[in-house]
Amino acid sequence: MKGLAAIYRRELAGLFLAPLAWILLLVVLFYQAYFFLLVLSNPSRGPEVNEALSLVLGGGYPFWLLLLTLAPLLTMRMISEESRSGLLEFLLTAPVADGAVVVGKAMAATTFLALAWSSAFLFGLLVQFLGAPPDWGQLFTAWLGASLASGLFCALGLVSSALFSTPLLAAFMAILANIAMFALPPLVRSLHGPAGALLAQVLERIDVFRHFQGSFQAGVLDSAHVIFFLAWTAAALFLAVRVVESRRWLG
Amino acid sequence: MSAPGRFTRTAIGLRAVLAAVLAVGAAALAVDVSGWRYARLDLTARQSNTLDPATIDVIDKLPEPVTVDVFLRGLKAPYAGVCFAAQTRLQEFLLVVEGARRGRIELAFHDASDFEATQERQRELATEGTNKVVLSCGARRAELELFGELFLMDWGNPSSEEQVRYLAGQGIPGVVDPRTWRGGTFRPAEIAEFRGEELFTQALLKVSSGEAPKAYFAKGHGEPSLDGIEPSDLSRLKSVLERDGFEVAEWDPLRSPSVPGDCDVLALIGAQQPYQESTRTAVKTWVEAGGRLLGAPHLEDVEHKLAGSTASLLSELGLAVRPGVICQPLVGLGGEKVESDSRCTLLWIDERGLQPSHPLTEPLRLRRRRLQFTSTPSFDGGGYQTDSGLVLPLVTSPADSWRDLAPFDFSCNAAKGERRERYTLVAVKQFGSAKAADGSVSQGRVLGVASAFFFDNQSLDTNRDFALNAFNWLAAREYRISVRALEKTESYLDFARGNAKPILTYTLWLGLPGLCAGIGLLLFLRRRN
Repeated sequence: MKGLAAIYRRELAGLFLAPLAWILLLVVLFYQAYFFLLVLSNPSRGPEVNEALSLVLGGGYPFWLLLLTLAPLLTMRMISEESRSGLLEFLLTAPVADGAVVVGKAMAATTFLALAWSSAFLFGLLVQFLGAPPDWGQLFTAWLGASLASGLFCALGLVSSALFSTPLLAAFMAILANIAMFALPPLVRSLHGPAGALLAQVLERIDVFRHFQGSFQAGVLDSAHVIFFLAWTAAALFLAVRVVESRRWLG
Repeated sequence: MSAPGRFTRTAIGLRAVLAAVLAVGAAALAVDVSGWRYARLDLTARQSNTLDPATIDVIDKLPEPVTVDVFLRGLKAPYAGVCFAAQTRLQEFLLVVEGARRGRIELAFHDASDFEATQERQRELATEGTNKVVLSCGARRAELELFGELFLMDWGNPSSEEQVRYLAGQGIPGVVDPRTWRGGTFRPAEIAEFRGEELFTQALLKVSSGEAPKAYFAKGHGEPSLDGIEPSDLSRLKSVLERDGFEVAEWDPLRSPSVPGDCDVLALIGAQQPYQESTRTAVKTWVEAGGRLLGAPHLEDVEHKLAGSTASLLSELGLAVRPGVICQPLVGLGGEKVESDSRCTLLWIDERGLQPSHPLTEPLRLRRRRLQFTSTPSFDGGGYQTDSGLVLPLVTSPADSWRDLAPFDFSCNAAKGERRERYTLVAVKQFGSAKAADGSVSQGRVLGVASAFFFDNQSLDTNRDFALNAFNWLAAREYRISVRALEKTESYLDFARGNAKPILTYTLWLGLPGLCAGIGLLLFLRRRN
């Protein structure tokens, strides 16, 4: 894709040179540290480091709450703000593919989140230094899964950013979409009757938590679960590209 | 460029919608296809997500998918934590099983708060109660209890009678008995062992195969009842065997002298009267032709050397039973060895007394299971070759045990010059291969357990696994008895020693955020300049 690397570098620099990114990273570090220490000080379980690390990388709802809100906040301005300021039109008329613009932005946002989640490796190093080595394989798969899930939610955030011209509205709609994608499958599973079963079967295909829990969280790299995240990310990015393209045609 | 017309707008919109539908469809298709052929890589340090090859083999050979219904419900404090830990571990294990071979195992977790739906499913499965797993394949079912089966528990010591009654009311086997609870300091419950994979594999075999080996128990000679609930009866053994997929039946040699044709394992346990000559001949002929026999003589039978008894039949088959009761010194309060006490007849056999490398005892030895014998005679010691086959000792008493010789008067005193050594309490003999009438080749097996009390209701809690292994080995189902435990990596910080906690707390709250803020500030300042 022509211009992908340039767009990616530009977006990444834009993210890390803005104070908002560092504030978000700081929030993530405090948030992760709080839950990590909370699990370690659980008197009934004892200070088990693998469980604590698992919680900060997708093993519990605090992580997902953070991801579902953080991804839209990062991506909300990426298309809608640039569209309002006219920068997007400039970009789209530049010799880069529309796909490269969208994919480059998604990759930058995902890289930022992957970097934020990599604080878990620092936690791991710290507990190893303190005499309790973590299961590095499990930690790596959990991080990889968290990064893939971040990619998916960033792509959804970009769709919303492309659809709505106000960044805040884009973020709000993306958060709603993320929550729906995350919470609907388990909710529907509790429905009864043939309709409920059918709906559950359909929604199983977008059950993010189940796909994460069944492999990455447990320390398994499973091609089917990797494809699950990549396929839906690709679909969302394709959608975002189509929306951006239709903007150009609609004028 | 002029603004597009209404038709153009609609066309562009429709194309975008169509593209969206196609994208979602393609993603759904990719997700579906990825489940057909896939690769799994277990990156955990202890391969915690890799099932034993025996389990994988069983799953691969399932004739149709097996549905696993899980009915879980929490316990009240102070047992809520340990119950939650067990349930979480079980769920993790089931997810590993489901992921190992997709489409072969279908999991269904039932929410206990949804009473109606749970009841309806339980009615379909003809089961009741919670904290259990039900495997079903067509009309075949197998049930596994969370506590007592999948998890061996140490229920600790409750702090109040209310807690004791609560636990007892849950119907969990092995919890504190309200009649024997004597108060004392509270000790929390904990998980002693997780046996998920082993039992799950056995349950899969049970539901997936039409195979139901038939175990016949001889009756009519004073044997303990298969249905009685007295401590000396065998009803618990019967129940354990049936749950493991055996069909249990009785054989009355007085009515039909020959061993039933569909018999896979014949058990002669605790007969107090001698068998007729014709019965003994029938059993011997059957074993030599490839039959599988389990013999456990009654103590009286051995002491009185009754002709035609189980002990003499075993001797004729090559396993010579010797009279006298094996005793072991007790350990006193100060750690000293105590003898001349009737409790010396209660033997606890640990892994040191179990034969390594035999499929029957090796899994028990590896898991440090103990066996319990009460007032037991012994077999002739050592392994030796007979004309018809090799005799091997499987279970031996501790090295400081002795044989209290007849007349046995419960004095349990080794001062009469009785030798201290390891005595054989369980021995096996494997015969040469024999060709049956239908052309199949089979190898006769005899397993001798020196005491019939070993299998009774009172001892079965401790000896359950050995008993199951014994019947499975005799029925030539060795593959059912050796599945390694699936262990989870656990790593604990030691907060009690050193300054681990302050280092961790300060680094996480100040060090890492400070570093992040510092880099952010530096970049901000550089950018401003």
